[in-house]
Amino acid sequence: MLEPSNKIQDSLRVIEQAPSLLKLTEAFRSAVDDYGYESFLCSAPPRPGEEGIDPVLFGAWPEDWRQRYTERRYYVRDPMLQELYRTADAFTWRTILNSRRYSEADRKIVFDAAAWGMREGFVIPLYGIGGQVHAITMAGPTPRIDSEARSELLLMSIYAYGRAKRLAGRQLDPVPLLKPREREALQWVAAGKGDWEIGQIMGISESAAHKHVENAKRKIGVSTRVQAVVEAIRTGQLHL
Amino acid sequence: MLHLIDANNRNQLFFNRLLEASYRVRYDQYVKGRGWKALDRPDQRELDQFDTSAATYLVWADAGEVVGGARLIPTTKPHLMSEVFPHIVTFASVPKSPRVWELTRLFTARGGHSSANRRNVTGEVFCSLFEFGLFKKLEGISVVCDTFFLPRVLDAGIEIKPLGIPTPYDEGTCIACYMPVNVQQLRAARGGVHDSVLFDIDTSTEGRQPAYVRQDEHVFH
Repeated sequence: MLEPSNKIQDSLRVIEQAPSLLKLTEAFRSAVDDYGYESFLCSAPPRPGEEGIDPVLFGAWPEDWRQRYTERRYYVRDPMLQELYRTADAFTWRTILNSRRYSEADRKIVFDAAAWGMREGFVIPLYGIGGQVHAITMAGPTPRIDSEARSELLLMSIYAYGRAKRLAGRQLDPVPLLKPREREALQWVAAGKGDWEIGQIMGISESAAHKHVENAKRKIGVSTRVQAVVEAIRTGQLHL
Repeated sequence: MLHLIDANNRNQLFFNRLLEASYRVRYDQYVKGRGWKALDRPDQRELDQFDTSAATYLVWADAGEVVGGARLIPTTKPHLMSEVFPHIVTFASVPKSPRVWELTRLFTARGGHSSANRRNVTGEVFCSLFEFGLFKKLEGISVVCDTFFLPRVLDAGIEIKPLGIPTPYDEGTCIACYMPVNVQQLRAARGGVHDSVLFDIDTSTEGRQPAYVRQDEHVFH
């Protein structure tokens, strides 16, 4: 039997030496499993109210829950996301469910996750260079959330994040997030429409349509409309 | 630009003024900004028992205005980890060696600067830590820091080892860590962007001892 502090150091060593994201996921899974967490996700979540995809670094997260979450646009009101962008410190789901800051309707999103065995969870905000925010969320039916467990999970999560960032290399530059109107306008650009037509279809002026497309180009960092469409498809923000 | 202030120059008017100004910026930062009431003093300067002639300060200033800085203390002298936080060091013993110095009071001023500018200053102060470490032929830098600081350091590709698990204090948690000093670390801190900020150290001389040229000569009178 290992001393608790040796066990942490052991887990940290395996995490830090993981040769691939797949191995890292395995190492992290076995580390958090000891605390009763069955699901976990390390991603760069959208800010509340923002549309967009959620670039995942690593995770073992119920796929149909993720689908339901996206389809129902839970990310717009999810109290966990709101809390994440309000604090630098880790927090448990229970704290949020007990807080009066969030409405009954918002908190229902969290209760909804229980059907996937996620009744309690722990969320760790991770601030990278340039203010880029990632988070590790872990959840389970009855996981440990005592102070000692939280400290140990925090440490392992930070190192798993650090390792994942190195393994993912530079490909994971933050994806520029398009607003719904910008996406819609790009959708019509892809269909071969001009500004005037797009304005007619979207019920806005020609110049407003033009502005949406130009904003999308600027965010994506390209100079032509075709490039904007291609990049938006590549990053999963536009589907043809 | 960055200045190095230690026992050799801290009594010269120019450096004394910078040091005094940095105590006041630290007060704004830690007492007013973060509410560390234990550090409150009526003279609105922030100084503790480790601000002695044993300390070396790296101070980023623009025309006499202090924007950022850091304090380094040899671990052979009393320092924060050995005197105040030995209990959070559980993975090893508190590092104590003439070749390991402790980093404390790493700060970037809040007000009056754009976030891009602040990031740049923080980056340069961080580079200066490793340039100083290489110049002094240190093996490593120990630090007690806020845990939320750690992901940022790792994201930059800088090697930082935990010396214990995060320990709650006030609102957040703090952790004891150790950063090896070597050319790779400086290269990571520079992030491919910065030139030398304090000591002219070429990070391309991998495997060989880098050559040192003092950039800021007047510092060492």
